[in-house]
Amino acid sequence: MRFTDTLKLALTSLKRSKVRTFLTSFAVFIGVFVIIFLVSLSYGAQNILISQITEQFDLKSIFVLKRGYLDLNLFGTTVQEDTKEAPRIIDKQAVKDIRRIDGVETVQPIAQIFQRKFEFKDKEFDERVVSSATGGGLDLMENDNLVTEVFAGRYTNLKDDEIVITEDLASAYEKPFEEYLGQIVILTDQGLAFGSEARPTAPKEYTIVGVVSNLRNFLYLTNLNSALEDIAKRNAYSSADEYIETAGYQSLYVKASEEQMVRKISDEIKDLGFDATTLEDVLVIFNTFFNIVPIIFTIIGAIAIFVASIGIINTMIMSVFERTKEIGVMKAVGARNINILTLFITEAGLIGFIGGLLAVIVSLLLMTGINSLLVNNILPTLGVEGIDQIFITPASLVIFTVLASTLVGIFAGLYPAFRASRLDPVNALRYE
Amino acid sequence: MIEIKNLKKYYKLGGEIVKAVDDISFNIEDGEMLSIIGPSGSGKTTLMHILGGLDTPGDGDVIVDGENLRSFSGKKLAEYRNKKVGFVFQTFNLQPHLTALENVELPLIISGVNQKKRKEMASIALEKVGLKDRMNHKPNELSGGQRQRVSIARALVNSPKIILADEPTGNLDSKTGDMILDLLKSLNKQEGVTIIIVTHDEYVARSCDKIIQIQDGKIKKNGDSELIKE
Repeated sequence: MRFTDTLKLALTSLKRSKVRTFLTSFAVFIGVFVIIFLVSLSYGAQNILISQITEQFDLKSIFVLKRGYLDLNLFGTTVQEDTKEAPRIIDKQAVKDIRRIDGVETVQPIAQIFQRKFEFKDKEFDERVVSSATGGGLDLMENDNLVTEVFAGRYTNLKDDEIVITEDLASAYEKPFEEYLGQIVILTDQGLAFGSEARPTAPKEYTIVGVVSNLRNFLYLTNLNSALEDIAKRNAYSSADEYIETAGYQSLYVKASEEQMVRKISDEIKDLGFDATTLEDVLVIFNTFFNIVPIIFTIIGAIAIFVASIGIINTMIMSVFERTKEIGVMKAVGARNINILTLFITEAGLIGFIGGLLAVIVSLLLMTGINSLLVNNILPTLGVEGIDQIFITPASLVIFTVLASTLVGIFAGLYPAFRASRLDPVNALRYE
Repeated sequence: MIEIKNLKKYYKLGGEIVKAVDDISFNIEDGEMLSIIGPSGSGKTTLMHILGGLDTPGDGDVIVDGENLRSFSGKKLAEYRNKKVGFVFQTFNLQPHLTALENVELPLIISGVNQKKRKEMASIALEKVGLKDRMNHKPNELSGGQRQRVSIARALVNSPKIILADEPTGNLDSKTGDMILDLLKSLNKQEGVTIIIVTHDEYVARSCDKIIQIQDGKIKKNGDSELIKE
């Protein structure tokens, strides 16, 4: 028997009981749909996050932290782990040591101030208040690659009373970037800074001198000295210097002269007793996470497909019962056991294939629709740009799922097909 | 020639041994039209199944053209059913979802004949049984007589040596039954195909050249149809 003829006969049989075929395939459909939809979503999310990360940081960057602090600054939080020994603090000597490492171009301390109230002094300019704005103190330089775009004004050589705001904060007030320049803002401590002895400092006035692209989780930046003084004050130190020598800088930004040096520098910083995080490290963490997520989704879908396979087994056993006489006739006109086996396995495989194919078609249509709706209509109104797709479906995923669902069908068909092929023709012909 | 030598087939049914075929020997010449007659349970259908390669001989030999069916593997037996014999059943046994033409094509599909050739062969077979104009109808759109003619065409299509018909007129009225018998007779005369009809109907049996009467698995009478009179 030719395989094309087997395929045709199998299709004719399936067409005979359309509803049953559809319902059985539908269970497969759900499993495959779940896999394609969720895995595509996770690939899309991975792509968006990774591209946003790589957009903001360049591969020459290394972030240095006191050992034991897990830097999750991308999420805007710093978590302290339990450590037995007191870790080395990032004092001025540490900065000197790191600066001496071969291949280090710049070392810049970063201060981070949480949750200050941000408002414009001129209420006619804008009376709205950002109640909890996290900012940073950082002496930015032209060549440090931290600022990727300048929308207005400048960001280097800030005086103690000068401030730069980021795109995110500026866009909250919806004004042309140029208009912010020269505005005076008031930052007020909310008293919620970390450390139990934190005490609110007096409101401080700054003049906006620049609007720049987003930088880590900071909404605004002052110079390092100004931020350190505030932090020292709110934590009850007499001066910024005392704070640095006792508590140390929160983190350092280290820039390597070349990308190839990053790994070596990061290792040497670790040898000095600090934690060093490179973009590569961050990407590794993200990629590990995003490698696991599709597997979890695939397992969920696989469970659904497994349940579907039980449905296929059931349908095929029913079908063998109903068609016992037909099987007898086929044997009477010369069909071998293997022909019957192949026919029923093909039918079961087709049920899986149809379910998988339908899921691919429906999910691709749906995802294309959602992609274009979000990218063209919804995201722009929310002010989100630079995202061209939410779902990413690799061709391998489509091929894999269709193949897998067909294979599941084939496996589910093995037992019923085996039973069909072993039917005794005499009994089968007598079967009513 | 088909030689049946000391053929036995016993079944175990509810702890009791049923001697369906009990030491039967006879020969069937090529081109004969033969009927096997007997009451139900006499073993005639079992005999037919063994001759047709659907069932295996329990003991004894069935030699068709010098080849012993006993020695056949499952694969060879299937090929034998496909090429050497054609079955005609009382209940027609057509595949309900296939057209008349496709039903007739079935043995050819199984033997792997290409589509063009088998359509041609199947329509010739349907023409022989006078159903060329109905070949695209499904069985439920055909009358009983027409269905049986489709099943005869299916039995014919591979140009078999033997056609085995199990109560071919059993589900038909007498007029249609006569037409089917006439058709089988003319195929016997024109195509020279050996026809074996299994029946309990004496009228049907008498339309054949030879009759073998079976009772309790044994041959009761064997001879020309005119010679056997009750």
